[in-house]
Amino acid sequence: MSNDSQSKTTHFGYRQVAVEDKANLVGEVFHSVAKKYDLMNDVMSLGTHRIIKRFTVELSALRPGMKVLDLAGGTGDFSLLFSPLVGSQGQVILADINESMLRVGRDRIIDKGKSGNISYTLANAEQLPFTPNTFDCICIAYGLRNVTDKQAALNSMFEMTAPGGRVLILEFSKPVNPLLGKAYDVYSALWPKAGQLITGDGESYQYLVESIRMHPDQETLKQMMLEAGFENCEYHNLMGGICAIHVGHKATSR
Amino acid sequence: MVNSLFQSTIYSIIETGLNQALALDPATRKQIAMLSGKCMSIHCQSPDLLLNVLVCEQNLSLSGNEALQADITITGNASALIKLLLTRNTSSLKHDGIIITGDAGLLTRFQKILQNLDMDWEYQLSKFIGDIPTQFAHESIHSAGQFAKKARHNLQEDLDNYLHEEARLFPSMAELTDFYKSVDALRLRVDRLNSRILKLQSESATDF
Repeated sequence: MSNDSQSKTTHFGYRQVAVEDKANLVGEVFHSVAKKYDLMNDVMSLGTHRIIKRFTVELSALRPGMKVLDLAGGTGDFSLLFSPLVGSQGQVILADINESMLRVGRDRIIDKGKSGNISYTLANAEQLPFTPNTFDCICIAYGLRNVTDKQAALNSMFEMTAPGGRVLILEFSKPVNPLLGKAYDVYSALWPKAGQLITGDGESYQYLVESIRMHPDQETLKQMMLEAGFENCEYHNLMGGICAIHVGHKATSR
Repeated sequence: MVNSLFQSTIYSIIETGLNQALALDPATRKQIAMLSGKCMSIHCQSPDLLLNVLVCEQNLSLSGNEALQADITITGNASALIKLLLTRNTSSLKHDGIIITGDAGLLTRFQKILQNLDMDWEYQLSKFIGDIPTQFAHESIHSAGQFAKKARHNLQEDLDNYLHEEARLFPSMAELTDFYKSVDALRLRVDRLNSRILKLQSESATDF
């Protein structure tokens, strides 16, 4: 058994690493960039990530009193947007596998004085530690890419989603137009250098660029969601497919 | 989905503006809070646009998501919808082609809240694009508005002059007043003649 698991590998950027090592390696990346993560996002997306986040939140169809899980929520951007939507009767749970990111997120939320309905959980997306059928919405933004076993994460998310609830997956994807794809490749090749300047850690951003290219494209991810049990799965391409939001629903009665 | 990001940006600006205005207006905020959890969906047919206004405690949240179930849906074209939201008059709904489904009482309450709000759009815009561009935008819009107003006024006057004085297609105001006066006088004289005839008829009837 132990021999078996040691021989299994997965991709970490372009490198092949042992399955059990990937979580730690990704962890190191985010430990290193946590403090300047939001600033780097601004640089990489030219500021558009704010609009994309807002658009994603609109798709959540949340109302006061609902429960939402902000998975791989890191620095808490989404939690801050969800919090006023679900109100004091609702609940937002900010979960991340990385302690540094969660700490930055928690501090940020507390500093903004918005902690009323937000809780924090250090959790692995592959094995979510919640009661099944709990959340009206689960949102994972720019996080699925870094999960070792994506299918396991989707299955776990499906289990935790309340019947009638939905899951939102915001992730870098494959540009529809090949010309845009080329331009984007050139642009993203600059990120490690920008990362080196801003966070002093170019390697982490090298990983981000590589992991984006290794991530399943729109249709593949949709199939994976269907496999996990989600219904009426659809995706919205943003900025010509550089990013995509996948939406899946859990049926009210099974 | 092409302009959804754009739409989202616009909604976000309007939403921030509305909530900022609400933050400065405790009375309206209290009224809003009573509607918490209610959602009004405005569906504009031309141009095709969906706007959900969801009340989340003391704030409003705008979105364009069809999946959000609304308590009231208002469907119509842009001009009729704007008219509906900015006036208190709900009597001409049918005439304007507006269809309302759901809790119509909500509409009246939303209308009241919207009409009582006083917003500083310029300040909101300046937060997104900066002070100087906002000032420029404000001046451009203002001067464009002034120009349009002046141009319309001039055109109206010129057209008026042309139709009345040059082409003489229409009579002038003085001629018209004169004409109306003589019509009035004529009507009075006819009325008097009519009553005189009636009187004579009744007199001759009693004679026989």
